[in-house]
Amino acid sequence: MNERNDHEDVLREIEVLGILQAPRRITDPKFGAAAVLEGNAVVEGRELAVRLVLDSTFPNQLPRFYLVPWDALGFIPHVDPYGQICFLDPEGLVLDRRHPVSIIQDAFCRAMQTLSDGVSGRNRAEFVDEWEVYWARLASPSYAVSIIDPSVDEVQQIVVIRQNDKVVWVANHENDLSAYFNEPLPAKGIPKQYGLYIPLRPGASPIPPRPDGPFWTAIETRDFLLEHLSETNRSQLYRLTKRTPRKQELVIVGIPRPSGGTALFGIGFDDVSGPHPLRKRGAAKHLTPIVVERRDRGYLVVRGGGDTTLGTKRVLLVGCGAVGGHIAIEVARAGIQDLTVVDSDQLLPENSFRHALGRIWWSKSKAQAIKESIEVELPFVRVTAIFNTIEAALAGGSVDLTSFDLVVLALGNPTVELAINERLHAMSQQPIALYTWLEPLGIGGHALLTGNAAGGCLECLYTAADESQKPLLNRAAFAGPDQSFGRALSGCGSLHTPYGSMDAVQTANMATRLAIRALVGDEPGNPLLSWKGESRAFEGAGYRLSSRYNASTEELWRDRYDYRNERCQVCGERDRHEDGWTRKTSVPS
Amino acid sequence: MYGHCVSHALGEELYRNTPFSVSSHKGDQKITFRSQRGRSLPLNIFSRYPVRLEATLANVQAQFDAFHETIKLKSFGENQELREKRDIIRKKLEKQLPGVFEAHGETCPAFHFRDQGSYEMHTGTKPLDDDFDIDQGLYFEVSTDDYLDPIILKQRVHEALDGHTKDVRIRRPCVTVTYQRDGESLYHVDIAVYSDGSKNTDGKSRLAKGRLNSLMENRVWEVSDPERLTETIFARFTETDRRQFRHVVRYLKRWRDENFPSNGNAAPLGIGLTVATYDHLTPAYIDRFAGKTDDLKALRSVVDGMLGQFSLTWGSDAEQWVRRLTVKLPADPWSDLFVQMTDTQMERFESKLKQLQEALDAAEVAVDPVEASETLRKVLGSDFPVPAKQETAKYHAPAIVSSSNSA
Repeated sequence: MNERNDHEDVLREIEVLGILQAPRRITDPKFGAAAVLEGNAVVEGRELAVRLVLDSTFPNQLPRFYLVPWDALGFIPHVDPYGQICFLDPEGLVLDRRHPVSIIQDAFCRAMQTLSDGVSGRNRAEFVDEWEVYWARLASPSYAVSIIDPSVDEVQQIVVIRQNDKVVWVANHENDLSAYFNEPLPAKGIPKQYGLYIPLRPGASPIPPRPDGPFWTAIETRDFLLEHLSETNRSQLYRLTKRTPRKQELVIVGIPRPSGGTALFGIGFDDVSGPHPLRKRGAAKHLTPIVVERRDRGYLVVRGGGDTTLGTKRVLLVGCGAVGGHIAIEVARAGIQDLTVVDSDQLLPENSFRHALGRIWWSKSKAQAIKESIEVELPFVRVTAIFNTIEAALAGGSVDLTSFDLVVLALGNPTVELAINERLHAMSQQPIALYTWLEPLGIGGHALLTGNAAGGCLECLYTAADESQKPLLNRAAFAGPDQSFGRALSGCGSLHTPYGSMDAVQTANMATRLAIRALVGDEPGNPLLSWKGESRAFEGAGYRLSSRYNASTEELWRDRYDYRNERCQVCGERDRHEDGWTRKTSVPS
Repeated sequence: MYGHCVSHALGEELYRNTPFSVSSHKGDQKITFRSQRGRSLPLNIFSRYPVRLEATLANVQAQFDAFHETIKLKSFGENQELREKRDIIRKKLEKQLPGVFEAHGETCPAFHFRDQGSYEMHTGTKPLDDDFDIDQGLYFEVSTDDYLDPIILKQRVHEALDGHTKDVRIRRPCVTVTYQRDGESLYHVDIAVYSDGSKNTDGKSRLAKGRLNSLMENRVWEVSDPERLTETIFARFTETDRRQFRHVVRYLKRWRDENFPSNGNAAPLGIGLTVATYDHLTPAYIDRFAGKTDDLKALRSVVDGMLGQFSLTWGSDAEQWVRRLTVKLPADPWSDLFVQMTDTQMERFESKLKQLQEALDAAEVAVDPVEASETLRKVLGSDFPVPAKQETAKYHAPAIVSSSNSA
């Protein structure tokens, strides 16, 4: 198929349809191999020259439209200095590729609407929404990486750290830089200057400087800022510019975007003389537009789909195995920024195919490997690694259970977990605790939340429902009782339970979701969640399933709070003492 | 388990020598200290030690589970032997029927088979005398108007199978083929002959009822929907409850086989017991969360329910008031499933149900599982297992248990 010929056909049809008046073919090396048709169109009573450009990727991509010359309608939103009209966000569109002419007709209508909105001023506010884009088009900008929290609404001093001539870092405080890099500041400090963060008042709808014009002077900048500042911030700006300025000064400005969030841009002042260039009689010989690249927590976490309210929560993860490793990474990605991990094992080659971490971490402690891998990849997340057993860490005082909002236990060791469960329940202010484990050969995995409401804990699962049942059997288990699952690949020393990485990931996923729901207050009770997998491999290996495995997924969900056991010696007793069972009924069913 | 290490005597002694009053609450012991101010303070002085003041009741669920494993017959899908036997008949009919119709100067109508009956409902029970029965639905794609006399199609089926075994008979609801060995029947296949719903104006399938020499008024096409029946019954229960439903139906069917003669209508029909279970079952669990069922209690709920439904009816047999149980099919033709039982048979049915109820009561309050199982064995038959003495006499629960947990 000859793409070029296809486009010829399309262009001929466009000509016949008369979408563009007085159509003429254009050969312009600027457009490479693309097919270009120029013609006239009328917008708000003004006749304009418009170019339709079909790339070889059309109709799998939108056609392009250009206004000739770019400022034929003045400086309006959504027309770039090359004249290209940005009429539609191409992300997430489905194009009817079998009807390319219809695509062009629809696109043309939208492009003309965009121009019309621009001339009439209807879309003037969109200058602010797209402010950062316009700022980047200014002549010879320099760059700043910002970890400033733009949600503050008061003019304030910021620190400016110059990495080299071109790139500077700006932050509310140098500690934020330390948090960003997950590294302590050098003892002797870092060379820094001060700048200002200037948030404009909401509702301000300024117009950015023209890309082809001269950049603002100091006076223009001052007038611009003062016009769009609140009364309080004007006086705050006045106070903060009293000091004697340096030769180089820098401000970062935040504009509240009509569609949400804040657009950031900066202005650099060189060869400053007299008072601060933002004060009367202040002067700077040269002003530079500064394009701001955002790296602040709010921006990075929200862009990644995380929840910034989790940033203040402290999480302890006990067990960094196949399940725990994924939980550590996922809670950090969800927005947890203070994580302590405890594990007494080293990462061995044979762990690789079911652990979140692989070869480059071999022979490191799992806790340390998790710490380093998270910190190297995720800014702001601080991980404390404890290479020890949880019992020793508690005894030695390196872990203080009272300081955590959430404790996750993913040890795969019920005895230790039961002991910790009892210890947590004895605390006057117990943190939320989540226990998670999986079962052999893909039959399923579980996550139990406790401490989030009254009633229900790990001990409930190991307490027989009546005297006729055996104690110490996990009532949630999908594997039948009295079976042993350890398999030795090479002798007794390397005993492991057969399960695969996907089982671990699925369990970790379920557990992390539950943990996050509890931390943000979306989970009212103490549920036990289970996912049930295929039993073919399990039964094929000659193992027996439990009665609970027979329950349908709906029944497992329906009964998620019903594991609570009045005979439980840990939470049953506690709740009896506290308020004589009454709180049990307050948990939703 | 650990309950058995404490005797009644110890409980009584504690009771005498302490200022505690002892009350029972759901099988657990709550000890209440009556303080001088008259307030009840909940004390759980034994919470650290798994000791109970009373010997606990015997739990016979393990025996019920084993009993169920012994008596259950799997469905066609799971039971190759049954499937093979079924397929022999199917093949025979497929081969013979066209010729039979031709011999009568008719064109053989299209037909298809459907599994029906207890195997299809997963309530199949092993017969005591090894006389398995296999239920097959044979659906002729004809309207009832094409064959006004329903016996004609049954005759054609009979003819197609005649000589296949020594014993092929037309019975009122079906054509029965009996396979015998050494004069004793080995198994039989009941072929229910239908006019398929697709050919009837109301869309309903109809069962050909009547014998060869029946009067015309007893030869009827009866609206029948076995698939709908299965769906209705299963729709009442969730997946876990449905398992218990099947267990209880099988216990009742085995109880029936053990306690009633197999000939005639002396024994209540399996489908009757199935529907009675559908009507009365209250699913019961020792630990619902863990899926641990309490079949004794569940069976009891059905027996109680049935006994509660016996009512005085004017008996036409002896012309006097008699007690009868009516169980209506919850689908077409909505008939009474015990209507064929005589008043005397019905009387025996009620008295046998009472015996079963008494046995269940006794087992429920028994302390020793051996004693409880022996009581149940008397009514449910010798397939109900009795645990060996030492099995129930564990003095402490295991302190080391392997688990399926890992992370």
